Amino acid sequence: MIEDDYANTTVPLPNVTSMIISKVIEYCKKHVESAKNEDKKTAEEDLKNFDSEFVKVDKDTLFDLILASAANYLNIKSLLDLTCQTAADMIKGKTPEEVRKTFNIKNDFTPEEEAEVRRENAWAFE
Amino acid sequence: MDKLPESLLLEILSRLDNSADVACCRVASKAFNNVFPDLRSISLLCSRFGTSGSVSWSCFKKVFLDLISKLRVVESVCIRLHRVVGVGPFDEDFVKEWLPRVSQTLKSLSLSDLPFPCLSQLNILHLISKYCHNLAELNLRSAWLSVSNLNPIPMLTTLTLESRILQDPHLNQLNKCFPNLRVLNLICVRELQDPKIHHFNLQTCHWSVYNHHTSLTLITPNLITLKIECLCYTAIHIEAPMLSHFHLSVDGPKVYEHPGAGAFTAQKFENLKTLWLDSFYVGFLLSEFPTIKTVETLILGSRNKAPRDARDSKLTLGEVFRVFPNVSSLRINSGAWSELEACLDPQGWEILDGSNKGLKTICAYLMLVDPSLTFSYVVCLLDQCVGLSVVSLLIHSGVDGTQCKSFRSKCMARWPGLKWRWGIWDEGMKDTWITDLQITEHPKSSKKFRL
Repeated sequence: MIEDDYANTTVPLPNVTSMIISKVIEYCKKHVESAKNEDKKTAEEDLKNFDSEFVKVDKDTLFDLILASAANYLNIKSLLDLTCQTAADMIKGKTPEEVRKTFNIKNDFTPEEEAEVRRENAWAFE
Repeated sequence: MDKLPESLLLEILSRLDNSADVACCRVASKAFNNVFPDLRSISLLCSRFGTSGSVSWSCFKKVFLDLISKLRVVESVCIRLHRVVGVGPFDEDFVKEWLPRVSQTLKSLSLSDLPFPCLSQLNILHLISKYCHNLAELNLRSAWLSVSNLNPIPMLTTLTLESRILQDPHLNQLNKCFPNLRVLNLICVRELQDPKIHHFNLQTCHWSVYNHHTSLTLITPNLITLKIECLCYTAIHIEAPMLSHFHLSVDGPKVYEHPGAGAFTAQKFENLKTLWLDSFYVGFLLSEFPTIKTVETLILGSRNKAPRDARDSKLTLGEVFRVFPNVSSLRINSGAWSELEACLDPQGWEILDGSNKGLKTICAYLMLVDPSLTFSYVVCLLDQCVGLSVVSLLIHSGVDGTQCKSFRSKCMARWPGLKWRWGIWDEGMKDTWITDLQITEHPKSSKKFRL
């Protein structure tokens, strides 16, 4: 939007709550400020701490953040990386049942489908 | 999670670094199962019995080939064999079953801990070079690697070879077949004879050599970062004028068993900014270096445990500043500091040629074996390095608390104008910085020591 010389226009962002937008803005602000910091080493550590605190949110907020950062009009790659990696880290080492529980996933396989996918992947959790 | 479109589910799935986790996701959710074929990487850990997150040796072949067939495009394969012995699943026939299938798209391949007995039948490098023309990144960890019948892999930019025995004693094949390497890591390689790394495009190199009495040569016009670890002090010749970061680590205790056997020669370093020297007695290593005016950050590490024997190393700060006159940031580990103390002039004062204005920050790791000696060394350092603004001192965790406190007070009382950072260090522990300090120790000082 800024490239189109619309820096002062309102940008419509449907389906994203103001809470999520303010979090995204907080993230962007912090990363921009950090880039200006001359002491690279402390800036890096400081940013790392900020990022790990930033993603300590409930699952719904995490998924909203993933959606927001991927949105074409925002497209913030580093936030997408951070939030998707956080979601991936929540999956690591879990059994299928645990993954379903963590993310409130409904089992929408038919019994036959489920049996087949289980058989194919049994090596991973049995 | 239902609101996430398939593209974002794929983003999450692709950040799992273990195919076992991906498999669990496939069972957990139909949506994950649907996007799974669009994943582009396979990462399998194979152990004898297939415990937690790994596939068992007996199922490995089937599971792996199944994954290869299900994924539409395979760009990255990572197989880690954990304690797999005997003629296991990894033989030439197996490799020929899948490598040609992914040869067009494979960009990154990592195979580690290929078992020894099956290697005599498997020339893995030859097979990789035969099929994988688009490979950009290769990581091989194996007890033994042959380079016979090696074809060039022109697109390869990153190569890591970790092997006890590499059958390319002078590294000729390596230089010839991977001409476009940017990053090279040669770890733990033995049985080399006067090896030479000769690469025009190489930018980063980590070379770890466990040979005795061999020379090392690097002719790398575009090298920027270099780390060399060697067992004993061998003759090293470097032609790398663009080099900016250099870490040289010499492991062995008997550095001067064969005096003159080791010599460090280099074409002039035009760009060297950061230098890290690690050796048994770092003074000896330092004496091999010519004056380098570009070095701004210097790190000195010494492994000696008996600093009394260090006197011969003649390590003095005067010498350090003579060889590196423009150092602005200095870091000294505890061994190197002990070496400096041991080499201290008997009169107790080390005379620098005029005071040093260039040094801005110093960080030292102290044992505080003899606090008054250490303090007098700190005095001589701080009084003569007039440009210093930040002094960071870390005291070993084993030192008695009251001693630490009194040492700290003495230092801060004498030089209140400096910014002090105090910390605690120990082997195998991350450095801890003391973040608050009793201001009451210095009632007259108006400066807040914000650490």
